[in-house]
Amino acid sequence: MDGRGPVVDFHTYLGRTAYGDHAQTAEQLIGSMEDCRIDAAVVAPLLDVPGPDGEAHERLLEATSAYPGRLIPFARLDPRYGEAALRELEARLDDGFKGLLFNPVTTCSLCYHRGVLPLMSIAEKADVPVLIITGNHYVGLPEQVGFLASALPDLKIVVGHMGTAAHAVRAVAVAEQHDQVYLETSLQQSPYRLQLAISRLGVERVLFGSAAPYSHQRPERTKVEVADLTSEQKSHLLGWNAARLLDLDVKGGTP
Amino acid sequence: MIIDAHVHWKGGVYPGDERVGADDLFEALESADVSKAVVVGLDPHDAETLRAVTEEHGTRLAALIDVAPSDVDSHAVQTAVQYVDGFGETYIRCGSSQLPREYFRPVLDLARSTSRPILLHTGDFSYTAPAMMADMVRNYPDVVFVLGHSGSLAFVRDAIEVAKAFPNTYLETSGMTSPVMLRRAVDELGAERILFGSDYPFWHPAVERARVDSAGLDPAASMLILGENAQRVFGL
Repeated sequence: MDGRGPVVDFHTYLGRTAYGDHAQTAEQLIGSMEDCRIDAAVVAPLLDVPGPDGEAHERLLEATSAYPGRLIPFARLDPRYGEAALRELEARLDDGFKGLLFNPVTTCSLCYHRGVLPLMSIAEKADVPVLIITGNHYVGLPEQVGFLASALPDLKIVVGHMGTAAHAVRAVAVAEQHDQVYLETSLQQSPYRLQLAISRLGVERVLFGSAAPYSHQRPERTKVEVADLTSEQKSHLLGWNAARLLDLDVKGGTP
Repeated sequence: MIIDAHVHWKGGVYPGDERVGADDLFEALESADVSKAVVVGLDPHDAETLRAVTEEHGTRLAALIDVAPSDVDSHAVQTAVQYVDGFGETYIRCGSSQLPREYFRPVLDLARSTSRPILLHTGDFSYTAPAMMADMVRNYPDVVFVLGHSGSLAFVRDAIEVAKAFPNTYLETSGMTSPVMLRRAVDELGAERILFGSDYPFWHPAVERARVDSAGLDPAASMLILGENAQRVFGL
């Protein structure tokens, strides 16, 4: 049993990677969402801006405008471009983007570096969440997200992949130390760690995500279905928490 | 027949969490319609437990045992090789001053002399990166190697390249989270070189099965991956 209420995938992508290894159109994503009974999805470009595709945000805006209420745009920025990145984030927030995706690996940047903080500060001031990719990489460790949380205590931070399998237990520990930190479930393969996260953090700071097209929404949903959680806990994880964090108007409302 | 080529008898994913024994395992396997599984050792001391497991559940469970290089000549290992279907799950921990095939030579020679496959853990930092195993795989062409987790998230592309270069190498799917990469492996390597696995009780058969099912493979390829290949590789 999935629980009740809306289902929101907090982590998906549109577009095409630089070499075309991964790609996803809005139509493909919506088709998968319908197959997997997912009401809404956060979408970010598959490439950083500025970067190889200068039109990535514009195309994302067009795609999400075609599916209002179902696709929720996040900007994806490379802070190494300095002022250009800052101005782009401000402009996209004005366009209605609801958050920021930051990938430490593709931008070769530690999330807490003083050169990255101006970008994070814009998200903090705008009161929008930043989704940070974490996992098995020297610049993707959960503790580094903890350093950012200490530097910007009002920034809402979502730990993408909750550290993946290799670092998930420590991602939970980081979130325990910082109330502003949420965990997103994609690519962390174990359903049992969802139980750990909720037992340690409470029910409101774990968010369902798929990272599609890097994973598929179906196994990511199956992971929640087989987890030993109550129907109400699953409802929070699958959608209510995301709806609250993003201030979404979704079916069933929020508890 | 669906075969899960990578499960463990016991384990947990955080302190205080542990699933152990047949009841939990069979319930999880049934949730993914798996009818047979390969129980893989995690520690050289598991050998006796796994022998008992295969005695009691031999129609549904096969066993691999983890063998440390220093233990190959021990009575326990020499006894165990008579009933197990292979060796693993092996973590290569040789350090930077030694080639993996030198560190692991006693086990490699044992696998060669007994014609048993080896399941290697791949995918983390340090010495479990598939590319670092290429030298070992090259020098033991008559030993079958199964790359557990297919390099996982970080090294799946390398795992495919190693398997392409060395026909004695197979990929096991647990942790291969990308349906795109699974399709790529099938296209570049062939479905006959890929084995479905779940790494239960760390991960879950129903979730890992859903990854294979959602990759959009043709039914013949899926049948190979979900069971026929494991039957052949492990002689089940």
